[in-house]
Amino acid sequence: MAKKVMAVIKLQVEAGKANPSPPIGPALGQHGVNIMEFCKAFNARTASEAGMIIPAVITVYQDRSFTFITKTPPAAVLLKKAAKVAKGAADPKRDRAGKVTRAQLEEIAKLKMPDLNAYDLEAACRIIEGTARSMGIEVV
Amino acid sequence: MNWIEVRVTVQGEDPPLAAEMVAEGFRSVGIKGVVVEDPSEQPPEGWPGDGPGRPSETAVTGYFPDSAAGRETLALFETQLAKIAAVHAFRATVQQRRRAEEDWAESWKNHFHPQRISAGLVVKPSWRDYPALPGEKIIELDPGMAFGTGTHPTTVATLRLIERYLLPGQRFLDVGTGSGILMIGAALLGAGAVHGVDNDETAVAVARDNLRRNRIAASRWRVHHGHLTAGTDGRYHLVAANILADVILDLLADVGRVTLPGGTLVCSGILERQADQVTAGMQAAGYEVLETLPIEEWVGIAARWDGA
Repeated sequence: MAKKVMAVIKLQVEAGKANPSPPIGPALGQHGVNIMEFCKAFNARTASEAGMIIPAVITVYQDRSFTFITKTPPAAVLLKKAAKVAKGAADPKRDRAGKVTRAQLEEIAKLKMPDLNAYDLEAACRIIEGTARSMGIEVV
Repeated sequence: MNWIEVRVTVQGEDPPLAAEMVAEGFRSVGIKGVVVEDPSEQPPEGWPGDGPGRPSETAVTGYFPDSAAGRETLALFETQLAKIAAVHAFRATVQQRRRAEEDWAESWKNHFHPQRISAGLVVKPSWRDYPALPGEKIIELDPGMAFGTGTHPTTVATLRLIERYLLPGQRFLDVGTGSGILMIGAALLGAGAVHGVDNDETAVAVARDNLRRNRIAASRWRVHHGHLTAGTDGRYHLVAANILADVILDLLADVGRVTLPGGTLVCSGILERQADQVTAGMQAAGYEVLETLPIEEWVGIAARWDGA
């Protein structure tokens, strides 16, 4: 049907745990989006990824109907999981929070490819490596 | 419980990476859910010319409980953020504001009220009471993940044209049915059979729910998943397509096959500036344009199929 986009809202929320509290309630409520319907659909779609942070991009149309897509988890979250660390280094120039292997880095780059502005795997790896460096995660 | 909304705007060489580091900063103090404003995010349909909802800067927003413990966590976050911004060489601007607790699961509903579409049709959400006046038909519809809540000019134009051209007992087809609102309208206006098709499976499920909710007898309707007129059943007296001009132009090559001679095509989702192109396309395909109905920047068009 004829659609005119009114807003695009990007959220990062825990898989399977969307609920009307902040940030979802205020972010979607101001646009008149059916919040419970979003939460139910998001939770159903991400049920198998428990514990992961999943970005969701919600498109709201002029009549306040909406659609959404989910994306791959943020690179920082995937890197922490691969390096088995709880957080990145406070000062990545001096400290090392942990390590990932080149193979792990490639695996993350492959997973993230659809959401990255990268023409090939090599370019995707460079983007992920940049994030790793920013977090003090060493690629070995 | 009240909340402190903390919006961090980032400026620097690599705003997406800076935003990711800020989101990571929120998560490091236990705030797992954030809102990201990203000017580079494109909706699948693209931004309309005026793009009112498009963010102008990159920002990340998180919420802290407005309590002693929450403020302590916020102080910790601010310390972290200062370090993150210094290390990654971006400028972070923090705006804070208090947000009163609200029943967000319910408060979005305040945006929706019963709406009169035409002399005989009113659309209302399930949570509002509306006593029907004599001769009025009520479409009950809750907004959700399928287009067609009744508040959009293209939906209004299509329903008005259907009301004008549909006769009781006639067969009705809705191409791109979305929420099923046009099917429900046609059924309430007396159509004998109402069929709908949509290429989005979510819409198909939503339309079925809405038809049931409006107590349209199951023997009168059918909704299926498909592309344009594929999989439709026989020919129809009135075919409605509230989609977009380019899709309607594609549809014209084929829609005669499913329209009864002398039947009507109602098209909507056409911007005013596209109307001439669509009416020309209709005439070239063997349609006689009966009426164009402008509402705001959109037009609905009704045309008669004279082909065989």
